[in-house]
Amino acid sequence: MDKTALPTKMARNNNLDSFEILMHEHQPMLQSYLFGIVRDRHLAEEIAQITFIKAYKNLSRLQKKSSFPAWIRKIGRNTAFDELKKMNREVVTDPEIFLGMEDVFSRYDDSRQADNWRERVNEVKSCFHKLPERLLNIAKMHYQDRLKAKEIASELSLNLATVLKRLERARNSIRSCLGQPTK
Amino acid sequence: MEEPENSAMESKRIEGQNMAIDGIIMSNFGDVNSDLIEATLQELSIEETKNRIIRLRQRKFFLLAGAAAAAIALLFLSLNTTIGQYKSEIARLESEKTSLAKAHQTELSGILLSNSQERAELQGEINTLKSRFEYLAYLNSEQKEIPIDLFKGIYDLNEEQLSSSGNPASILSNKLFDQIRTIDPVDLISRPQSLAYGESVETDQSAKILNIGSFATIQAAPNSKIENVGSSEQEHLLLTKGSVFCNVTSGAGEFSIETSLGTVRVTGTKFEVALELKGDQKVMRIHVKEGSVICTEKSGAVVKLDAGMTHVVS
Repeated sequence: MDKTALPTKMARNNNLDSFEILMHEHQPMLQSYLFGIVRDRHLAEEIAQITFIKAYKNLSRLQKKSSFPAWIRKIGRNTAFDELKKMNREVVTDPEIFLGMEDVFSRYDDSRQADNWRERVNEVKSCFHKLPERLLNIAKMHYQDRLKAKEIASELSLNLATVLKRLERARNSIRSCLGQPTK
Repeated sequence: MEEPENSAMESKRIEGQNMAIDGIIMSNFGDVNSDLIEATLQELSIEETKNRIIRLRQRKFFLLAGAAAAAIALLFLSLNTTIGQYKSEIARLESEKTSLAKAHQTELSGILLSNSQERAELQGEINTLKSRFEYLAYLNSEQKEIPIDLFKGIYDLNEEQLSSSGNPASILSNKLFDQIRTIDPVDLISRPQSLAYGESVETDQSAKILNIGSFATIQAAPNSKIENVGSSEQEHLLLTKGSVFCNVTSGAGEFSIETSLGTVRVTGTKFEVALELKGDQKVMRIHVKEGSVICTEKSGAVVKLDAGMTHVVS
């Protein structure tokens, strides 16, 4: 099936079965994107669900040549803003930040880069594991064990600035590995 | 990768890129909650069902509205038909009403004519009585013998009554006043006018009684036109339209009625002359009730008509 034609077809037919295929296709991407914004797994899932419902209701507004992933990320971002505001939490609104996020995610929208999100994520995973040992340890503690920088500093008897610097370097290395431009 | 040394915008952009990478890594490299899609699908199914119910309700509403509109249209058509039927019924009744009114008018005209004829007859009798009374008074004043035979049989008086009274004039006077008392006061109030010489009269929807000279009374039927073209003792009327019933005292003078079709002359009688339309042709109809008349047609033909005869001149 031509996946680019799917949203337009659904917009015409209002077909829930077709939309399920799209949800399976884009849920990991959307959830990762929302995770990056709200930094809360459950909240990201909740917002992803609201986003999909909104997207389904507004499929008729989707332009023929529009990118469905970019369109659904935009809905997700606005939904995330609304939800964070309701919860009185800090909301990131700087457009440059979202342009940066789009740099990363839009790269994966192109089907020529990888067949599906899983393969695309494997690229990130691979880059992650290619990190130098001292950066990988701190990255694992932060990303997998969910420790805050302060807790990592205490655990490794390092000062906070060092931990923060190493995490920054780890991110830059991954970005560099992914071939993401810094400008 | 080197530390960004660019502007604040660039560093913000890099921050965004890092947020994206953080999001990918922190979501366990894209691991997802598979229940989420199921839950979303359930939500969407519920939404779909709700929407379908709304659509069905809308369709039901439109169907009902359509049915109602159709029912109203049918009702309207039915009412229109009924109204049409009522209209034609009203037209039929109107026509019937007009016919009845015409018939009633004709009947009424007949009654009026009959009444007028009776009134004219009565007036004639009064005139007769008057003249007899005057004659009686004359005989009485001249102390001449009263010819009892003259009054025998009149007003139920017999010879015995007349001779025993010693004063036949008084008896006759009383009888005369009794007779006058029986006259309807309305008749007295509507005492006939006179049609003077040289004058004409045209009646509208009602008949008119007129005195002609001193010895004739006529009853002009509705929609008639009469002109008095005669002179004293030689009464001559010109009938140009309608009909007239005449009561002429015998021996008092000449009386004649002229139409475009002929002239009717009398010396003392009761008769009717009418100008009528028979098809497209105008005819003169003469009916003699008492006495006799002589009709001279325009063609020169002379016809004598006795009581009870009717003659039509075309």
